[in-house]
This record gives sequence, C-alpha cells and structure tokens, in this order.
Amino acid sequence: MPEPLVAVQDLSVIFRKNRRALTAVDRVSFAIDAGTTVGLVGESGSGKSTTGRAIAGIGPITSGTVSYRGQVLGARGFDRRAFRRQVQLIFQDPFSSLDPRQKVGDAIAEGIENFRLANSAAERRDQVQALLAQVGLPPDAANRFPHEFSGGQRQRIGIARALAVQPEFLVLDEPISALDVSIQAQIVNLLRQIQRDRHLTYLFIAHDLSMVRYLCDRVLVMSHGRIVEAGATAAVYTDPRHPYTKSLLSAVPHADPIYEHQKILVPDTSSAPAPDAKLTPVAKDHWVLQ
Amino acid sequence: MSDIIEIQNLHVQFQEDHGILHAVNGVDLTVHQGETLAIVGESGSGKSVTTHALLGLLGKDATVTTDAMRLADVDLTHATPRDFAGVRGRLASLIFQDPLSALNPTMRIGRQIGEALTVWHHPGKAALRQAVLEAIADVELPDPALVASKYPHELSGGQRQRVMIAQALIAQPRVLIADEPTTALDVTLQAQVLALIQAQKAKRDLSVVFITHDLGVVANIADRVAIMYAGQIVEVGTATEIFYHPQHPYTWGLLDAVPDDTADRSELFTLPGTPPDMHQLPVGDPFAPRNPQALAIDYQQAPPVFAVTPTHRVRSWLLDPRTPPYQPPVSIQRRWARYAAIMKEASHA
Repeated sequence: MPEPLVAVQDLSVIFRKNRRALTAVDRVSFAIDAGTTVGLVGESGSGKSTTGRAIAGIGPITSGTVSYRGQVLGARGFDRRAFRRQVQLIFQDPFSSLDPRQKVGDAIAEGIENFRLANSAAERRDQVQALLAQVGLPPDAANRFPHEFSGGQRQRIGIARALAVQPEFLVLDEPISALDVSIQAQIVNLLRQIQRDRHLTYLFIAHDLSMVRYLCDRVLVMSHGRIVEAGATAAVYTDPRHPYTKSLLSAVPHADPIYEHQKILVPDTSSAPAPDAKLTPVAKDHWVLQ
Repeated sequence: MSDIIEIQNLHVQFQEDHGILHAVNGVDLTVHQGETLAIVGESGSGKSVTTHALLGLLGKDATVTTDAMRLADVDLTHATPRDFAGVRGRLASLIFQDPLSALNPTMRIGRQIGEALTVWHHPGKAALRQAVLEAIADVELPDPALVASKYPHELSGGQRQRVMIAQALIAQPRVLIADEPTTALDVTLQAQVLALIQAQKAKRDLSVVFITHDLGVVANIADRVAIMYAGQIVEVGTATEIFYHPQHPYTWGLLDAVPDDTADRSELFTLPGTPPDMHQLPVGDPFAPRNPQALAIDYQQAPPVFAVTPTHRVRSWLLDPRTPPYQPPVSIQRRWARYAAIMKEASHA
C-alpha cells in the first residue's frame, strides 16, 4: 500500500487559559491519500478548524504527530520551507487575508517571488496571468485592488494565490460558507476542475453536509474534539452509526418541501465520548468511536 | 384569506458617493394572515431592504416611494418616523442573524426582554416579571429565572437566538420578520430554531416573513415563496409551485446549486457571472446576462409579470406565449414530473 500523503497520529491540541485547559482536539488519528478529497465535518467548537490548522502547520500541536510525505512536522530534518510551499490554506473570508493596499497581481506574485518560481519579471507576470485565467478572473484583475471584487471573486483571488506556489495539498477551511448560493456552486466546480488539472489533494472542512457529500471521497465526523465516525462518504451518509452523526444528518435541510415535512429529527443522545473509546470498524471502510 | 401586509410598487434608492444605488425596483408583496412567506435572494437582491422599508428602518440616505404600504390596519404609505415607531415591536418585530449585536451586553437578559414590553404597556413589577419568565419559558429555555439573571455573553449562540425571539414576541406582535435568523447556526441548532418559530406561529396566529438564501430552510417552513433578483420579485408562488414547478431560470439555478442526495459527481449546474451592478442596471431583463435561456428581447425590454396560476407569477419572457419551445435542466424536469404527480393526486382526492 502506498504511503498516505498526510498521516495524523494521536493529535491533541490543548489551549490553556487562566489555569484552565480546553482540549480542542483529542487524540485524533487519520490519513489522507494523495489525490483524494477528505471532508472534515462537525459543529462549531468541534475542533475541526483547529485540526486543519495543525495539519497546515500554522496551529499549535500539544501532542501527537502530523506527517507529510512520511516526514514528521517539526522533527529534526523536516524541510519546513518545502512544506510551506506544498501545503496551502484557503479560508472562509479571503478578504481578511488580502492586503487592501496591494494590487491583486502583486498579491498573487508574492508566493512566486518567495519561492523563486519564476526566472524573470516577465515570466512571473505570465504566471500571474495564467493563474487569473485558471480561476476565471479577467486579465485586468491583476491591476485592481481587493475591494473592487465581489465575495466570490475574492475567493477566486485566494485560490489563485494559493496555487501560485504550485502546492500539492490544500486545506480548505469553510471556503464557500460566506458566499451566495449561486456563487458557491461556481467555486465548488472550480475547485474540482483545479484538482483534476493539478492532481491536488484536499482536506475540505465544512459544516455544509450536502456539499461534503458531493465533493468528498471520505468523511471524518468530529464532536467534542474527537473523530466519532469515519469512512467512505457513501458508507457514512447512507448508514450513519454514531448518534451524533445520525442527529447531524437528520437535520440537513433539503430543497424539497415534502421531504422536509416528513423528516424526523434525530436528537443527539451522545454524551462526551468515553476517554478510552476507540475508532472501531463496523463495516467495510467505516469506523465508529465506541 | 385576508392580508396582514400589503406593499405595492415599492422603490428604494440609496444616495451614495459615486451615484444612486437602485436597491428595490418595483416590489409588490402581500403576506396572508397566518402564513409564512419566505423571501429568497442573494446579497444585494433587496430582500432585507424591502422589509426594512416596511418597518421604517432605513436611514436618511434612502429614498422610499410606494403606491401603497399597509401593515395590519395601519396605512404606512405616507408614514413618518413616528408612525413607524408606533408599529415596530407592537405589530411587527424583527429578528436577525446575529443576536449578540441585538442584545445589550451590559444588561441582564430578563430586563432586556422586559423593556420590549414596557415600551408599550406598564404592567406592575410582579406582572412584568411574570410576563418575562413566561416569554423565556415560551422559547423553550430551561430555568427561566436563571436565564433572566444572566448576561448575553453567558449564553450560547442558540440560547441567544431564543432570547431574541422571546424579546421579539413579548409584546404580542402580529408579524414576525426573521432576517436570516439561522444562517450563523449549525444544522442541528438551525432545525431547533425553525421548529421553535413554527410552534410560536401556530400558538399565536403569527404571520411570518422569513428572509433567507437557503432553499432547504425555505422548504422546511414556507407556505409561499418570493424569489428576488436585482431588487425585483422574479417569481412568487406556493411552496409546491416554487419547488416542484419552478419557471424562472434564476429559481432553477438556485435549486440546482445545492447538490441533492442523488447528485452524481458530475459538475453542479451553475449560473454564470455575478449579479448586476445596482448602480447601473442594464436595459431589459437584469438577469439576461446570466440566463442560459436568454432571448433577444431580454436585452431590449424588461419582462412583464406572467401568471402561471392565480397564485404563481413569474417575471420572465420565457412565459410569453410567443417564446419558442425550451427545455429546463434535467433536474428541473424531474421536479416538474413530481408536480404533475402531486396535481394528479390532488385532483383524485
């Protein structure tokens, strides 16, 4: 079996504040194979974003390890510079990560410069233009400022910026939840197109369960900092086993009044998972914390 | 059925530094007594501005003109700020997405909820406390006395949303206007808040105007649906008509943008482009540049409203009898087939 691109082993993140410890991520283990899309779902406070940030190398790790291509993050001999290029993060609100006084073209060129991915200014300009075209922005976008763009276009800028350094792995943290419905679908199609063209691997962090089902090969369900259910998307969605997953899936709204009027909400009967609970296989490619 | 809200030919413009923003461009809207009407649209479509005009919540930079505007038995066509102040909270209350910005962080919950009542009535101290505790119990928060003694930051997001609903309903308004009240909530909390609004509506004979961009939520709560685009209602009908017999290509795009369980992993159907610049609306149908089915006339002349049924109206040239035959996307054809089955069943019953 080939080595996974990303391997997370017993990852815990504990925040300490005023002598109180908050366990945001609790002994989480999973792997992501190259070329796949893994969905990470859960409610606010479940630990999904903290997990994503730890994997992307920008969040704290209290214990456990994150390995990228077999190299343990932060260990001796770990090539941080290469990792910084290979792994990129895309946020919900790209506006907050863009400098309002920097032209879009310069913002995209920054990474190309930092990693010396172009041999000349002309080559860099060509790369910026190619990136704008790939994300569906007009050529003159390079000379404009972030505030001149709509939310959907800013997310396209954020994607172009991430792609500029020729990454392998994107951590997408709620990349569409701030966008209007008709624009969400455009961005999702764009992300799938780019994944095909560039053979990228995605970790898609979201609370929109319909989009996760549509987009992801595998899904991880987080609650109270732990992964309570994991497996192939079809297995988890058609046969949820953990009470939390059942409750979450029963609440997903469908654009179908007859379905909505007949649906029965499953209350979440699960309490905080027992400390010694383990992800246990329940079916082919399907695990539940018990 | 009588109407609790009636708006005719509403226009709202905002004077901005670089020109005039045409936010609402001729909206006709009625809300029947006791129904839930969902207004669906994307940012800038004019959905919130329409209801803010009804409640007199727009600032001095807004110019509002309307042929008629009525809330319950109060004619608001030529209302002054004082007139609006006389209906807000008493006849119609507003709840919105972020309860934290609606609640005073330095005031205990009980006192804040009570203030929404003492604006209108002057119950004795004991009666007021009783009313506040009942309002909190009504929104299904456990231990009302404890909740009343807390400050907003001591409650969770879902609890604060319930407090805002209690505050909105304590003066017994006839209409609840809910502006994206569940957008910031997780799906399970969202489902609970929707159920709460439904329960309150049934209990109090409320009429509800629910503003959202989420068609899944609309399917859950709406009796009727109005779809807005570029400051106009482009399609309005019963929930059955909008979800199973949609006629406007924009409605098709919204319905198709959310993948359903059966969606294979082919590309999601998307509307190309972005909404128009509301400073400079194009000639003709403002939706034309994004409409895969656009006709030549769409770029020349704005479409009139066509009636599909007495309850279903659509603003699109596609409905003109002279329009050549066309096919909606396959997913929409599936919805039409369900509509045919629903109608057939209804005619047998």
